[in-house]
Amino acid sequence: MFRKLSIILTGIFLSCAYLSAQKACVFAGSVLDNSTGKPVEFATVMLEGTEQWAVADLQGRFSISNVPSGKTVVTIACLGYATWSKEIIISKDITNFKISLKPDNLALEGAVVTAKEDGNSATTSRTIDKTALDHVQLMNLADISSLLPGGATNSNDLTADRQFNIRAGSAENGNSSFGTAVEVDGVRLSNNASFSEASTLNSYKGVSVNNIASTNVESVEVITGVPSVEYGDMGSGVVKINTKKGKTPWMLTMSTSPNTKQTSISKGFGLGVSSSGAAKGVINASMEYTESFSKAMSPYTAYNRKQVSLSYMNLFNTGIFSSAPIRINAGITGNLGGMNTTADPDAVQGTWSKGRDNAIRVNLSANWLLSKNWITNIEFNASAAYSDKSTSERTHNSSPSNKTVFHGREKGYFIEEAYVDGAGIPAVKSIPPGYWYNVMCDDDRPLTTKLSLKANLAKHIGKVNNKVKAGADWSTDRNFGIGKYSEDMATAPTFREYKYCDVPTINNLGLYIEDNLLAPVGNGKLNIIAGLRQDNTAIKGSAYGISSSLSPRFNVKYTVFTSKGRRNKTVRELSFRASWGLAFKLPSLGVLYPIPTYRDINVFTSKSDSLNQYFSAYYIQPRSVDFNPDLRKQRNRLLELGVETDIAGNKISLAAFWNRTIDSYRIGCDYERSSYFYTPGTEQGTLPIPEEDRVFSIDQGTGLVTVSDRNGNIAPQILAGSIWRELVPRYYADNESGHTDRYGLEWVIDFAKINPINTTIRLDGTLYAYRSLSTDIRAVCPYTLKSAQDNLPYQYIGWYRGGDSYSNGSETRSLRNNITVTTHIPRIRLIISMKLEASLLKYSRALSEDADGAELSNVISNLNDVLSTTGESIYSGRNYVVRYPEYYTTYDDPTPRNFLEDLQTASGALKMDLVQLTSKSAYLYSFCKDFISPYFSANFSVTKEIGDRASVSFYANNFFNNRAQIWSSKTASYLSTSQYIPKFYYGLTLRIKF
Amino acid sequence: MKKLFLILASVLAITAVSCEKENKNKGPVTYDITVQLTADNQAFAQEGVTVTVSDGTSSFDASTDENGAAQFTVAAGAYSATASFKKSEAGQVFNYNGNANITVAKDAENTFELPLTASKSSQLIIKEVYNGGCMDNENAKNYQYDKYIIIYNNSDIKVDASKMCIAMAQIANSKSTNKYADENGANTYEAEGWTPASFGIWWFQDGVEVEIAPYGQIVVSINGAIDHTATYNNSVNLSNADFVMYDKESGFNLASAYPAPSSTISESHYMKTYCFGQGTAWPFPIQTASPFLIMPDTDIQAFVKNEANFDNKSTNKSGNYAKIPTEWVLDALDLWSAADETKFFSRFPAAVNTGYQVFTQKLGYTTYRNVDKEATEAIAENEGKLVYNYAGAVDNEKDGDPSGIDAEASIANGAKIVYMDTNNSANDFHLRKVASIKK
Repeated sequence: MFRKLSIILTGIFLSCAYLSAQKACVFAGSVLDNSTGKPVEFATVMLEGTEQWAVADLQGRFSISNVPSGKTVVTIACLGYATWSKEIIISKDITNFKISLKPDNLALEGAVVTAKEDGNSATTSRTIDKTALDHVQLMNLADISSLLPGGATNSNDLTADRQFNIRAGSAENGNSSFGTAVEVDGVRLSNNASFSEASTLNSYKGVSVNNIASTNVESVEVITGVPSVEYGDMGSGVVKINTKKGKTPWMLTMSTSPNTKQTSISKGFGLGVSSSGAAKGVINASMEYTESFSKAMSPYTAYNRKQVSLSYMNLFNTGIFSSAPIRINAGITGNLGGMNTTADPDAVQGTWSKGRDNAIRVNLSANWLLSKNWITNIEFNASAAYSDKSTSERTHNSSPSNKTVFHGREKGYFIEEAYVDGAGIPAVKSIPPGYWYNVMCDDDRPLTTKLSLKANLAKHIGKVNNKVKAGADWSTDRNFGIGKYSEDMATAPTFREYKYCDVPTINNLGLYIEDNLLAPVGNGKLNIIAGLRQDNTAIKGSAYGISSSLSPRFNVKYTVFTSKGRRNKTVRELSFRASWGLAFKLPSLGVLYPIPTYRDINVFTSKSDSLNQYFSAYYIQPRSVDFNPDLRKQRNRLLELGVETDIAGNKISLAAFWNRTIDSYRIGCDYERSSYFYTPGTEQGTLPIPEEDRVFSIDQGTGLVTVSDRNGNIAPQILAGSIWRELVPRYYADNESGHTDRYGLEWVIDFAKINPINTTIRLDGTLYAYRSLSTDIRAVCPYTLKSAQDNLPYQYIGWYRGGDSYSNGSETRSLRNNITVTTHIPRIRLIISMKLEASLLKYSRALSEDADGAELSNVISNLNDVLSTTGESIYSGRNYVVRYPEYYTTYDDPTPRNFLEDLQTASGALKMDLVQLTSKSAYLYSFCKDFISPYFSANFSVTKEIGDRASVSFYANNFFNNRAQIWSSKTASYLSTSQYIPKFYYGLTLRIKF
Repeated sequence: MKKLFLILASVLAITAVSCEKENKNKGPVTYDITVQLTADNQAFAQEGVTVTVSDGTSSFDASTDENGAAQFTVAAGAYSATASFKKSEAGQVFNYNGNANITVAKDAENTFELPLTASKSSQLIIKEVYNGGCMDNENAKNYQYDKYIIIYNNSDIKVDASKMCIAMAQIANSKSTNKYADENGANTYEAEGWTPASFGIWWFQDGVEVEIAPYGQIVVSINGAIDHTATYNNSVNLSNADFVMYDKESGFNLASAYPAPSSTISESHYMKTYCFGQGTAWPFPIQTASPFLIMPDTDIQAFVKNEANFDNKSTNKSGNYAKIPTEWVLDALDLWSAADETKFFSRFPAAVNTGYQVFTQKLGYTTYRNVDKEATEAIAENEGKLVYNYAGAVDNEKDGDPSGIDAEASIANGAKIVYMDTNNSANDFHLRKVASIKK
């Protein structure tokens, strides 16, 4: 099917290339400043229908040749000016098209301080522009989620890592933030190569966006629907951050709030002209310093970012590029920062922890406008994102006896040894009694690079506009860190060397083709976008080899009518859209190569001498699996239906979505049958060798402990012991076999402006549902227990569907609605907004069932019971529940046994052992529905421009300081709202241009 | 059957010997009488008990024979017969007291019963619990793996403690989340006659003699039977502890909690346990500890491995509680934190303990038993050996030892101390600034 699809798309591309009989025109003119009449250099002129463009020169002049005749939308944009856009008809050469751009300020009508819907997109896409970002004074870009429909405001804090999470909750299954693609000026930010940040057990996080300078952001586009096939390595949405580029005056920004201080300065300046008269380009430079404290009362544990950005833009349209200009954009951003507790007087003296958040992001892009019949333009992009997320911690340690720590990675028996410089690192190391400091570091330096090449062909075929793009991108993820190490190995705590830089690089070649057809149908317009992406992931030097995946994506939009000519109609605009697609999330290095773990089993311990020192021996067993041949890529099925309309000036946008995450990455676990030789300490009592003369050694292969006489007077003695058997867990990369479903409805209603009071009202919200079940059979063994039957390590493995917890999933529903009232008075350049965030429904319930809905847990009438006799549904009300394994196996016999039957007939010690495989919920309400009563929070923001030189913004979040209690129906108790809404918080920003 | 035999034997003996003795010198006529100890209407065969017969002006003492009978030769008249003695049994002291009026007369049977009434008090008590840890030499961090408990013989009778075990009740520290709390905040297991023991119960090894002399003690190291003072000046030296909780094979093998015991401690003095939950250390709290002593009447090792003896209210592998019959409990201590006082939940049945002692952790404080002033001063040998004006309490004004007796200084003087035992942790204990074994 996919092959056919590829052929069809390629056919479309080629046919478009040759179906051309249109007249080629010139579109030229100049761009001027509306207020001064001066030329606006570096303004970008874009013909959206044909994807042709030009950049205004020093005199504001531009020219685009080979423009096909027909209708097109001209868009002219420049930093510092309001974007101008209009549909025009080009039927002949236009050589003196003059446009006056208005400076972008609050004197203009139509300033928006919320997310703007992209009405032209065939899927849900919203943009938050500089005006909105300045107005709400975001310090952390992850907080833009509060501007999306139904969004909730978070505390404006940088001391905790924050990620984007599109159409998902933060504590949900399915690694949703890991699957959210984030790009800054085309540079993909990702956690694919990070070990320290990417994963906790069974949960992979997305990249932290704390180190993006918020003052340098011009706009953020959030694609929550089904994005173009251009975007690979994602699951549920794309966030595109655009920084400032172009010529600007000096801009100084100073912000303060109880926990955060921020200063930034930026300037965009032209480089003049060369001797040949060509522009040398424009550079925009920006610097920002931000410091954020976790506690305003004790401002010592702080996160800071010190960021410098340079962007360069130029147009080459002379010489060989005179007929085919090329536009170059290049940028480099460096950030130094991170967390630091060194100055914290509350910490133990001499101890600190530091976490770097250093980054270098480099991007180079070239857009070559060929304007040929067979190709319109070629875009080339190269980018790299290098981060230093290393952490270090200086700890204060002490021990009254020798401290045993582990560094060995080899399987076998090892005796505890002191560290001696130059003698290698002991597998089991002894740190002498006393006090010491140690600095442990985790060197994590991920690098993500990407090269992409894309060809576009835009054509008018009669009234049909068709755009085809085909491209390829090559991305790599690798890590240059050396992992954990200590500055002093003599006192280093337990760690095993695991060099991240030795982990193979993930390479991915993405190939895609997409056709975007816009055709009149009836009185309306039909827009069809069909694309196919193939990702080929190769991991050199790994058993994983090459893995391919195909991601088809479709978007269809039918615009029944636009507002043109319908000013007096009740329904002025109406369009419908539908999207469907697949998206694959590449694994991270942490997914493929989990940091190895080890089981260190104490097999012998001597007695302590008068200096509190003793010898011990351990059996070290590595317990990671390097390769899982059944590992699959995590994928998302995306479906979205939408409608946009304008009813009597009230713009309404509705989007219904369904997003299913399949094969989400997780850490799997199985149990290896292990046996080792154990020597009890009591064997020492009968030794003829005096205690002070004993020297212990262990055979690395057999585990036999030998005691020798230091003086050689008595022959060495081998201590008696016995073989112990233990089920040792091993961890490996795995997929969740169950799936996670998210679905919901989003709405945005922009009511018609109330002109007498310059006020607009927006109502936005979301009805969201989530349901996730883990349904694969998982082995669980409480292997550290001792059997009641023989006092030896526990020998049973329980096999549970979705794990041994009484619950294997959960479902939630929420209904959030926000009302934003914005009063914008252009005359006095003032904008005031008040936003009421309301949670009208917040529901959750734990689940325990298989994929067919059969319940997995069982009701017991008394918490003291082990056997269920009631037969009631766990969802029937307030019940105690017990969970049994589906079956169980033993160390000796992997044949599944009927757990319940054996439990019913067992008694005494056997029953005591089997009971360990059951799990219960401690509370009667474990499966009760939890409805949290509605709660509200109100935010207030005001921005005032003082002439053209300055502006002031103030905000107060939760300004009613709502601390009301809310009711939980599950626990039948009141909760504090503080866990759901931010505390009262305020801030002030002053911006000066000069 | 045995008792019946003893009674018959006594009757025969009395019949044989109770007869009038003619006074050849014309003095008062005397009669041989027998006073038989009884309890529950049966002969009480306790040898060596002193029975006193007195008519108000003269009194006669005689010791009981192996059948519990004492022989006297007295003139006819009205007498009172009394006996008082203690008997140690299963770690408890039984106080027997008897008082009977008897009339000796010619031609009478002159065999009398002396009914005994018994009251018991715990012979083995918790004298001290040191669990809060102390600050290290640099006053930077607290150190907590130096916990110990002192078991004391609070009687003048030697006690065999070899079957005694040490347990701890729930470690939960709030009634609001305690699944055993009823709507009034009281525990629900009291009515069912058991006390929960969590995570493990420690016992002495089979065959090891654990005798505690009258007013003697044993120091049991809970963590780390080593000299902690070598590293932590504020800590204690447990390298000379009498016993140590150390059983790595049980699963309690966390190296920091269980460093190898000092070589001065015999392996036979390692207490053993069965870990009936997950975890690598017996989680004896540094603040809200609830230790208790039990004397089981069954094999404790078999008891803790029988599922029937557990309350399986587990939500995870560490939530099981062994149901200890309350009558096994010898003594208990309930420590609580000041911060959670409003949430106090009594973890013991009232018959075992009521009240609690507020404990402050991390400062080297220890919970020490108050002295029973009256009982201690009543011991004649203590004359001149008791040291008063005790000032070792953390708060001598509000929460010191009301007796004012400095127990440790008095013991050093050779005194024998009787500690308070009212089954009320609030009355029986106080917070002491320094651990008693810290010299």
